[in-house]
Amino acid sequence: MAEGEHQAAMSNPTASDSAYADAHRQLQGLQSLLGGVIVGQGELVTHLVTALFAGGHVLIEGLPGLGKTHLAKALAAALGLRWARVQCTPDLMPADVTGAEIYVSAAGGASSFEFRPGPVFAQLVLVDEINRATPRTQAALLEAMQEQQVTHAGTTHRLPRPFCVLATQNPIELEGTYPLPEAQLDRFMFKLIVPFPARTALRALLDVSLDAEPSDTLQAVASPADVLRITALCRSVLLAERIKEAAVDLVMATQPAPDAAASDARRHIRYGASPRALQALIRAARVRALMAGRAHVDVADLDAIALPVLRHRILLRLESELDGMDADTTLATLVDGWRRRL
Amino acid sequence: MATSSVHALLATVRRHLWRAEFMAALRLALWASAGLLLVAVAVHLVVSPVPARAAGLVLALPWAALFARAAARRPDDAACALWADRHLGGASAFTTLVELDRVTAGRAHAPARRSLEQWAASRVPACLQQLATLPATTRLPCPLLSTAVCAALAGFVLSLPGRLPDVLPAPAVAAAVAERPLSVADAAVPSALVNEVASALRAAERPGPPEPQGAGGAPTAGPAKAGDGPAPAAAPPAAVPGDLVAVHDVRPATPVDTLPTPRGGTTSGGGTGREAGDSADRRGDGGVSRGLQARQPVPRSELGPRPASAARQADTNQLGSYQDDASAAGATGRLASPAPAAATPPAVAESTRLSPTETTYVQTWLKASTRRP
Repeated sequence: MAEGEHQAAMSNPTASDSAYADAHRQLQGLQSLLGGVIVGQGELVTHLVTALFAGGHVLIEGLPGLGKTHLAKALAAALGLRWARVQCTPDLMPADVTGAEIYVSAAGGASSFEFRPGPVFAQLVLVDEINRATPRTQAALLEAMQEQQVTHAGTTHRLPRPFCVLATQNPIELEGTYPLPEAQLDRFMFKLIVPFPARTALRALLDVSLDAEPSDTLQAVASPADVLRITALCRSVLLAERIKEAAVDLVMATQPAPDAAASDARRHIRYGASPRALQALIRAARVRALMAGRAHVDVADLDAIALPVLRHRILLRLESELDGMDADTTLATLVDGWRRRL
Repeated sequence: MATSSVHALLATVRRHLWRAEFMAALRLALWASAGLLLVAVAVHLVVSPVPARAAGLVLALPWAALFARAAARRPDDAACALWADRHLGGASAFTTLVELDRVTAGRAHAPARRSLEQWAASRVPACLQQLATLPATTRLPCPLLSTAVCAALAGFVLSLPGRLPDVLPAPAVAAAVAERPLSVADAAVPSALVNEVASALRAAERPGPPEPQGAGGAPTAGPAKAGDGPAPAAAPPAAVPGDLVAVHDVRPATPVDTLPTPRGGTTSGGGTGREAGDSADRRGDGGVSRGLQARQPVPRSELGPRPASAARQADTNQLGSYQDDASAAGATGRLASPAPAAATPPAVAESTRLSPTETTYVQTWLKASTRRP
C-alpha cells in the first residue's frame, strides 16, 4: 500500500453516521468467512481479527497441525494483505528476518550496495516457532514489531501498514529452544491458546480442507485501506468513565500481594500486568464493541478479552508453579472476582 | 428524539428505584417497631410502667427518620443509567450517554454519539418491557406479622397497672412476707417473756412463801429436773406447760440459748444477770404474765383426757424441789421440804391456742428447767 494512501486514511476519519454500521458489517463478514475456512476455531478467529484491527501482534500457542499457518494465510487472503512466513531455526540470522544489503552490479559497471528487505516487510508476517530462533534474531524481530521500522547501515526503512506479526510456539519439544523473555512477551497484544477441535469440527474439516486449500481460492472481502479505516474508526469508539475504571481495576487486580488471604489468588503472582496491558485492553475492547455493532465500549468487551491480554503478562511465584498453579487458573479467579465487583 | 425515549426510560427506572427505597424503609421501620415494642414491654414489666403516649412517641421516631432518609435518596440520572445497564441489558449505553450529557460539547465524536443514541433508543422498548416484568421484592409479610404480634403483646402489657411484682397474687405476697425475718418489735416480745421466766425461776429458787395459785386453782410446781421419776399417781394432774393446748400459731422466738440460764444453787438470784433483790416476783400475781393477757392457759384438770405423750411432763400438782448435789441419774423424785411454786404459766383458754409468744415462754421455761443441775 502506498504511503500516500495510508496518510489519507489516517488523517481523514470517517464523518459518516453509517461508518460504524459499515464497519460492523465488514467485521461480521470477515468473521463468517474465516469461520468457514477454519472449522471449529470461532473464538480464535474472533481474537485474531480483534488484534489485527487493534493494531497489535499475536502469539499463538498450539500443537502442530491445528491450522495456525492455514489461518494466517486465510486472514491475509481475506483482507488482501501481503503476507510472509518465517520459519525460525537456531541458525536463523537477524538479516534473514529484517533484510540485508547486497552488492549489486549495475549496467555500465556501476556497483553499489542495495538493501533487500526481509520477510518482515510484509503486512502480515507469520513467524513459526519463534522460540526456536536465537535471542539475537528474536530481538531483531521484536524491535521491528515495536518500532514499525528497520534500521540498517544507518538507513531507516519503515514497515508497511497495516503491519501484524503472528508468532507461533510449540508447547512440546522445548529442548534446544529459547523461551521469549517477559519483556518481549509484553509486546504481543494477545496470547492465544489453540485448543484441539471438537469431534463435529473435525468431521466438518474433512469436507472443507481435505482435497484443497481453501485459503488459496479465498476472495477478499476488504482491502488494506479498509483495515486502516476501521482501525482509525475504532479510536473514536466512546469510552465511559466507568469502563476506564473497570479496566484499571482489572490491571490492579493482577498485581502481586504476597500477604493476601489464602482465598486471594494474588498471593500466587510474582509480577503483574504492566500499563501496556491496560492500553491493550482498551484498544481491543473498542474493536470488540465495533464487532458487536456498538459505538461504545461495555464491560462485557473487557471481560471477553481479559484472558488473552493478561495470560502472558503475569509471572507466577515459583512455589505456586510447583504446586501446580498456572496463569490461566489464577487469572480466571481474579477476573471472576473483578466481574462480581462491577 | 432518541434521547427523549432514553430520558423516559430513566424516569421510569427512577420511580422503580425510589419505590424500592421506600419499601426498604418500610420494612426496616416495621422491624424497628417490633423491637421497640418488645423493649417497651420489658421495661414496663421490670423497671417502671411505660405510658402508652411515650411508647407511641418513641415508635414514631424511626418511622420519621427512615422515611425522611428514603425521600432524600432520590436516584439521580447516573444511578438510574447504571442500574438500567446492569439489570436491563443496557450494555453501558445509558451510562455513556448520561456521561456525554455532562461533558462539554465537541469533545465526543459526533457520529459516535449519534450512533450511541440510536443504539440506546433501539434498546428502550425492550428495557421497559423487562422492567415491567421484574418480580416485586417487597418481603413485607414477615415484618408486618412480627409487628402485629408485638403490638398486640405491648397493648396488653402496657394496659397493666404496674410492674410485675405489683400484680402478683396475694398468696405469693403472703409467702414472701412470711419468709421475711422477724422485726425488732417481734423479737422484743419473747425477750420480755424470757426475762419474766428468768425472774420467776429465781423466785422459785429462793425459799419463801409459796407462790399464789394460778387462775385455774392448780398449784404450781417447779420445773422438773431431768431424771426425775414419774409423778406420783395420786397427785392430781396439774396444768403442765407441755399439756397446754396451743391455740395460736407458733412463731419463732428468741433462741433459748440466748436466755440467761439459772445457775445451780439455792441462791439462784445472785449472779443470774437480773438483780431482782430479795423480793418475790409479784409480776405473775393473778396468774397472768404481762405479755400473756387475754391468753389464759386452761388448767389440766379442766381439760379432757390427757393425750398420750411420750414426753415426761412436770406434775404441777406436786411440789417439786431442787437439790444442789443430787445427781440427775440417782434422783428419783425424793421430795425435800416443799419449795416455793414456780411461776404459774398463764391459763390456757379453752377455745384458744397458744400464741407464738406463749409457746416461746413455755419452751424457755422447759429449757431452763432442764439446765438446772
